[in-house]
Amino acid sequence: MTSTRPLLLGLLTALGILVVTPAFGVDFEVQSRTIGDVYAHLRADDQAGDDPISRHRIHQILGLNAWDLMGDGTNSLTFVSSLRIDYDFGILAEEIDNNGQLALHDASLLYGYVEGRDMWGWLDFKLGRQYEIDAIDMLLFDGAKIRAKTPWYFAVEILGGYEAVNGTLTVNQQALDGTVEGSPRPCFNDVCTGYTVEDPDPKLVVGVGLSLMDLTYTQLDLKFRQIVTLNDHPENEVDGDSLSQMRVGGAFSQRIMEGLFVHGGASYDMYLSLVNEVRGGVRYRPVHMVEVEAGYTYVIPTFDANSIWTFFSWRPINRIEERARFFFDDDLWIHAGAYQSLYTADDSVTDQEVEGEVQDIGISAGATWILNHRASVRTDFTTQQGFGGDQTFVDLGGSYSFMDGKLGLDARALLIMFESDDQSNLGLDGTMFGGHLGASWQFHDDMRLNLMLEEATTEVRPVWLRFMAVVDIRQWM
Amino acid sequence: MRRRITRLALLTTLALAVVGITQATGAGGANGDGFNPFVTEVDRHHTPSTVVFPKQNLPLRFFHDKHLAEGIGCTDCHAGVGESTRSSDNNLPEATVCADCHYVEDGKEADPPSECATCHLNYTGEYDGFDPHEEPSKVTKVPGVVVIPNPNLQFNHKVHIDRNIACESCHEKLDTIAVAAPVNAIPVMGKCLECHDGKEAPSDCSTCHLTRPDGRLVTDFPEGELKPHGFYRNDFHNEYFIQNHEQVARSDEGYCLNCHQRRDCVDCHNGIVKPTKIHPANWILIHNISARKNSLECASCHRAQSFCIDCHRRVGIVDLDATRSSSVKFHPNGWVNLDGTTPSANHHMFQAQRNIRACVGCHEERTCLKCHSARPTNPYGVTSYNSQLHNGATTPVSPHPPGFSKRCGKMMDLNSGVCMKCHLPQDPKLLSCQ
Repeated sequence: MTSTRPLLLGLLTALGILVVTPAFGVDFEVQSRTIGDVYAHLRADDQAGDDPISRHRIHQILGLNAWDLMGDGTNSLTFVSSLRIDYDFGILAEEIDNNGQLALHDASLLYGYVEGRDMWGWLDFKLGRQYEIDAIDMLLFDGAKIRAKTPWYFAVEILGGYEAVNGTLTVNQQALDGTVEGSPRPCFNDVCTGYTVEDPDPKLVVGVGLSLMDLTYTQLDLKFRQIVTLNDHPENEVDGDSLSQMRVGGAFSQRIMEGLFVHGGASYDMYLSLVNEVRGGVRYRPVHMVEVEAGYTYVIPTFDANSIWTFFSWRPINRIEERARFFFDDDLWIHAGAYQSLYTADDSVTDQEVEGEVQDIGISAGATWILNHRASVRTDFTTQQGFGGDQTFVDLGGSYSFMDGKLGLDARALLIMFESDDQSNLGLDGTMFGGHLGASWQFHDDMRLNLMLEEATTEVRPVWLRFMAVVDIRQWM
Repeated sequence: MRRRITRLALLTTLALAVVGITQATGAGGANGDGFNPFVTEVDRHHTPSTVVFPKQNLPLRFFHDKHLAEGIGCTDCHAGVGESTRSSDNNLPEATVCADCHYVEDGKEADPPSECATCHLNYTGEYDGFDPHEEPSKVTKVPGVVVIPNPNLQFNHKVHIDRNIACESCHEKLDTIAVAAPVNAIPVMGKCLECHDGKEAPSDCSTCHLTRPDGRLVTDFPEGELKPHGFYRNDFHNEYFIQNHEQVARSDEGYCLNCHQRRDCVDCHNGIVKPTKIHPANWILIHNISARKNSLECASCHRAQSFCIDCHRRVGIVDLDATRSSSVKFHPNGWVNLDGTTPSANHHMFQAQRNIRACVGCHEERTCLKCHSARPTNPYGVTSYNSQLHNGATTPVSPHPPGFSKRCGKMMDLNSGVCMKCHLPQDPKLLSCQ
């Protein structure tokens, strides 16, 4: 089985449902977004900028949606899809020869599924290419997800299909790292078959879940998921299927009392037998004018179980964040916050001092002011010190629209003080300026043009420009 | 210089704060264009959104508290409310209803008082020989006009009244206020949610909020954008929400899709176009510090092994095949210790243990296999450095963490293939796991 077959199967099934459903009252919506993006990269060994890498890119995104397929006004059955075509005029043929991955990402079905909501009062389903977002991670797969609501404040769900792996008609930024092109395939029976290539092995996904429902101030979602890489290469002989991921995870949010919330989530990796992620936080707004919040994150970076990197990563990154806001009214507030990243190095193997327990700290403060529905101003000051380098941002931005929103302007200016630990970036150390100017024009009820000019000034390159144009068209039929 | 920047930021913040205080305490506010001292706030955590209930102009002098104390019922004045099925229905009493008790002709002498200013705030009427309420066209000096824009939601009073839901169940504390306005008399959403819990009454957002043809909520109104303020869920769309919205999406993604389309997620999370709201203008040049500090955040939208490495290869940050004659040196001295000396504080093991994801933005597994593979000959054609390790010893450096031996058996059961990348099947260390 190749990776495209499940996608085609899903699409055909979705199309079949579209064809057999009554068309009366169906609202068809066509969305188009065309993006032109022009800028250049400095090469690492060309700080003078004599031979930059050109990035002249066109992205075309086409969305076809069909709403209310049942035609009863409830939107209980819908179809949504999005197809993206990318072309980078700046990539040279010789670069593709050296890195075949660059040529893979020219067209991608971002998603395309039929969705049923509250069918017969108890059933939700999705069929086709879809995202699954939960405490485990974000998954893009071709298949089906069915959720049944019970009368007892909870719903159960199952999902199954194939993970959308990079290749034909697929760019998946959510695929598990570790097994894309360039990684060795696992060896079976001492037969090692080289690197992954353009036609990656299919990955079977199964999952079950349980979620609370109809509890106004309580949300809870529990999931189990298993991804298995199927042996699609006869040369790998027998027992070639291998686990890619097996996890349970959960996330919750609870309002304790008016203004006080707690939320959290955790994921346990059943392959590694360890808790790979814990997130939690509390937000408290005792009175309308004041709000404080704090959050904690514990993460051990993980990969596809077919990757040896899974064995290298074992020390957690801990991060604590605190933030406070003071509201003058709903549309004007100031904020101040701080974070600390904590890490304890195992320095028993060295006789030198390794970076201490607090590896990174940062503070920020700023204000947001929504003057009215047409204008807003925001400012932020952020400084970060520690692991990786030090950087300070002074950020000021705003937007304004007129003619009933038909015309809009926005701008952002930054002052950056930068001091990197990376050896290749030493030339950039110092003070930089950056900013962008944007304008938008709604030239038709369903059409809008956005233009943006971005500029950065650094010591190695006094002027760096990026130009972007976006045309949005939406048509109802 | 840094001090100067700090001072600049503080001054900007202070200036904004001063302007904000001026605006927040100025006349008008929630009471509309004209200040009305009889619109007083009640003690509650927050008030309804001015996007849902646009600002009203209420130049009236009225005392709900006194009328209720007199035993006057709600429907005595708001007579049509029992048949009202739309939020745009005007359920305010006509002036003639007031005139049932307030005899305007008697003016000052009337009991209850019936002067113009009794009801019309700061108004002194001019009429003689006619009833201004019966013949309003004869009035030469017009009192302030009441303006109550249609609410941006759907509501059916009749359905609620037919279910014997008392007025005061929703319109609380009317016995303590004078003029009723959104800030003191209109219920906030939390009040609706007391019954609209999905069991007793529907809890779909579209039950009350206006929807588009695609079923999503209308969020763009002339009065502003309808956004959650985090009073009922942990969903306040503040200046930081774009960074930490995952805590809402993870526990109930369907909730987000009440307002957002799937493309709103995908545009960023599977995007290749740099969103300026997240990455500032110089981002391509300066992202390396942020990537080192918190590359896990990067991972929510970018795969290190495709997005990062493709670009790093093109610009020459990474040159695994050593095909370029580059002078670029990325790692500090002491990054590897092939000579077998004691590792330095710069040794790559600390980075790999801390967050190997940062390494993956440039390296492939074969980089690691050079030293960490326990195979005598590498199956992938990788030139092994093992023989150079530790003064010629051929023992590879084990990357496995403490306690690995206790769980390696289970891992082999689930995926033995990955073990073979570094170990031969007959490797005693591998067999000990079985």
